Amino acid sequence: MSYRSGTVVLLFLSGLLLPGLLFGAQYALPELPSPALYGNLLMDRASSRGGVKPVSFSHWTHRTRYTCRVCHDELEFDMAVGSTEIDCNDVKDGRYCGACHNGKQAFGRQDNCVYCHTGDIAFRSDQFAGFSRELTPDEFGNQIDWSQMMRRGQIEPLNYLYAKPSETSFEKTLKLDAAWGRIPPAVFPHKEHNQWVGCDTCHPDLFNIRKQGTEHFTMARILKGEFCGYCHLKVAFPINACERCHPGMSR
Amino acid sequence: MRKLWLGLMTIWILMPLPLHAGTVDINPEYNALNTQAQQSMALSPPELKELLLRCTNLQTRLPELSGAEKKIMHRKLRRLCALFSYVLASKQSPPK
Repeated sequence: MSYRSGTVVLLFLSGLLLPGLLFGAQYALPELPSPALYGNLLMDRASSRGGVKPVSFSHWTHRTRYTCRVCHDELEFDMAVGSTEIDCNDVKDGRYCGACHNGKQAFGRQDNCVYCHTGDIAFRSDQFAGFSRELTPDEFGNQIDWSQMMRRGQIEPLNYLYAKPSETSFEKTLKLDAAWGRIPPAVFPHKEHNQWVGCDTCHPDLFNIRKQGTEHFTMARILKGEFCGYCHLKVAFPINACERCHPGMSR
Repeated sequence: MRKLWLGLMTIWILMPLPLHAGTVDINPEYNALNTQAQQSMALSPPELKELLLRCTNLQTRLPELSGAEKKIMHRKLRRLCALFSYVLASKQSPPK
């Protein structure tokens, strides 16, 4: 091979590889925990200070029973872990966890403090394999396709505790052009999201389109936990599944 | 004169009290507003304005509550007010 043709080949290969390298360098996708631990968290706003271990909470044990709306809209659990001002008396009064963990719908708090205050983020992860065996598989996160199961009626999580919400009126699917021309547009379906969350979960606090439009929903900001990253980094299917949002994109 | 006073007292006792935000039971009203969030995009501007007014009125009742109930309602009403305002603004002047 001549020097010139070798150079041409090298330039051609660089042209193919460089965008991918740049993309990978700029958008370092987060490392994911194991499926059993995905969506698990420790609530320690005041537990350690109060002399007890933090509360271990796993989303996967709750998602078959309740939609996100129940806890995050009706019970007003903040999306950011550790920011909800909850204490023992609130639970006793039937607020927050106490809305269900009252000994009737779910185990109560009486003499059961240590069952939740374990300080172990992997608590009950040994039960995950049995739990997920019959569920629709997915590639990332819990490796469970929650939305597919909802569509098929395999799970019917409750969407309210106190007052049934009216039927959702807005089911528009948005198409958002990517900043990089080589990346297919992102597709956002309101319908699928309405099944899990309330309108006020996202609007206007997380997504204020009127104020800034949609151009600023960049991957860099999403990876920092803004916008879609609020849910799709640690609880909903992770953004590592590029083609879920950018149909046609190959990894 | 005595009969006049008696008459006035009778009218005052029997006169129905006007309805205002202070007589609305908090929890049913709170739940009723909560259920409207999902259909906010289907509502007309006058309906949204009414919801916004009800939301704002209910916020003035929060001092009657205490503890976690007050905290939770405060957060939720703030978000509901923000949502209804947001949807109303988008209907009155749609984004380009």
